[in-house]
Amino acid sequence: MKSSSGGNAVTLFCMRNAVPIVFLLVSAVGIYYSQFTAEYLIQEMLTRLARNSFLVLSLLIPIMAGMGLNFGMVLGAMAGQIGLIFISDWNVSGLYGMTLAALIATPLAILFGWMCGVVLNKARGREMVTSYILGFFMNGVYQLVVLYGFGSLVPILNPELVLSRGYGIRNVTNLDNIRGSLDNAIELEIMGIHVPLATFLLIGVFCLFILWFRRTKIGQDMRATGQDLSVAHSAGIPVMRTRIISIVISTVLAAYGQIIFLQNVGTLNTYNSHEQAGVFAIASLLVGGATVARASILNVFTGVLLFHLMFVVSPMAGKYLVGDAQIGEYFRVFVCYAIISLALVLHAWRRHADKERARAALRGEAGGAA
Amino acid sequence: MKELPSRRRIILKHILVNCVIVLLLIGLGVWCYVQGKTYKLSLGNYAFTDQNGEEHPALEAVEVFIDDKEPVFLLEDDSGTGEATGRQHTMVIKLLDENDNPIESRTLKFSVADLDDNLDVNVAEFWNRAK
Repeated sequence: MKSSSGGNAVTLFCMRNAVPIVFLLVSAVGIYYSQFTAEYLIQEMLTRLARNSFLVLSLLIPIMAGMGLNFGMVLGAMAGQIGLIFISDWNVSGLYGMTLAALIATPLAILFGWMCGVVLNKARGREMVTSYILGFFMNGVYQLVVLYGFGSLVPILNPELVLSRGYGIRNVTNLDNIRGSLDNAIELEIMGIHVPLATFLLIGVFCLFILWFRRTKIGQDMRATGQDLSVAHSAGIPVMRTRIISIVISTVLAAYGQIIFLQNVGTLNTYNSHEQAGVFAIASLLVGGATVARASILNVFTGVLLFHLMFVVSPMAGKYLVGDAQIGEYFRVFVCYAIISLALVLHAWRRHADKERARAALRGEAGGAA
Repeated sequence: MKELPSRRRIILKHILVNCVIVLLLIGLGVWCYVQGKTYKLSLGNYAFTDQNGEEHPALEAVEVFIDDKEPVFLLEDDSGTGEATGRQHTMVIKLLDENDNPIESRTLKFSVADLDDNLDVNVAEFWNRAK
């Protein structure tokens, strides 16, 4: 009897953590074949953790409010990029430049987040696909503004930023003025491995903010809204307002996350950098074992580690296994999208299985009582 | 019994607090701009005439450090560019001998506001000023 219940527990654990387990196994094989040294992998993982964690953490609050994975975070990323374009034009460097970019991005991100929240409230129950398409729509608006508005309506004085025709921003914006300004703000090297301590401290503060936020009145309202919209509404919680606030916070944090991400990279791909921000952040979170309805800080860090471990090892593993690094590149791209699909399918299947289990338990109890 | 504040008063207080926050953020933005703005200075090492009409020759060879950044090496009648972030800066000028070893060093504090519109800096003049 005991062994049977233990077996059930293992099955349940494997079911609940299917995605991270699969990733861990594939990464383990990848590490073996890639022949990377431990120092190299640790350095890469630390860099990528610092680069991506903030973006992924910004997804937690909408999940708490029951709005699923916020594909609309690309709107925040766009706001962050607009801030970065301005500081590049004004030639403001270092941490001051980053702060100024964040300050410029904040009102834009609030506006975008509010718009996104209002639209998502109109599309209750279909938030993810709506925010995904909204991201595409806003991408068009962003491209229109940056390609035609900047340099003509919005004054851009730096000739290195503007296209030769006199308006529109160039494809690539050099962020040399803020490159590594946060990562290198506090120098720390352990056994030859550079640790971006300031970035980790900021991420730590953000984690504490999320923990604190969950305990606040608005945090409790979001959790109640996430559990059951109609019950929360009956309890007097302004559910629509709460949902909008969750999206606004997520969008603003995504803007800051994109600024942190790009200060690490050091180059802004003006028309593309934001496009992948949402997909990769969501894929990372799902790889960490999160679902559409449940995500924790642990899922964020596990996910970023596993997802980026795969990113690092797959090209070299592909090269040593089949003699072509490009195979590894293809592999990691399709794995990214496959993981999102798998997680969504698993979520639907698990919800169905949970419902079935609950019904069976109810029938069993009812039978017992009778 | 103390009377509760009216709704109008609460709304006014909220608006006031929001305005103060916005103003503080704008102030922070302006401060970041002033402190983080990077200026491209054009450095030259030329002979010049001071206000008393006295002529000073250019320096033979110098290394110019602005705010501990990478040094700019200048020969006589040479020019180059340097970067300065913020408003107040420290320039260290090292006079070099034939083997490019420093023989004398002078430090000068300056502000971007003191420079002309083209941000031209004559190192020989600054050397003389730092005496």
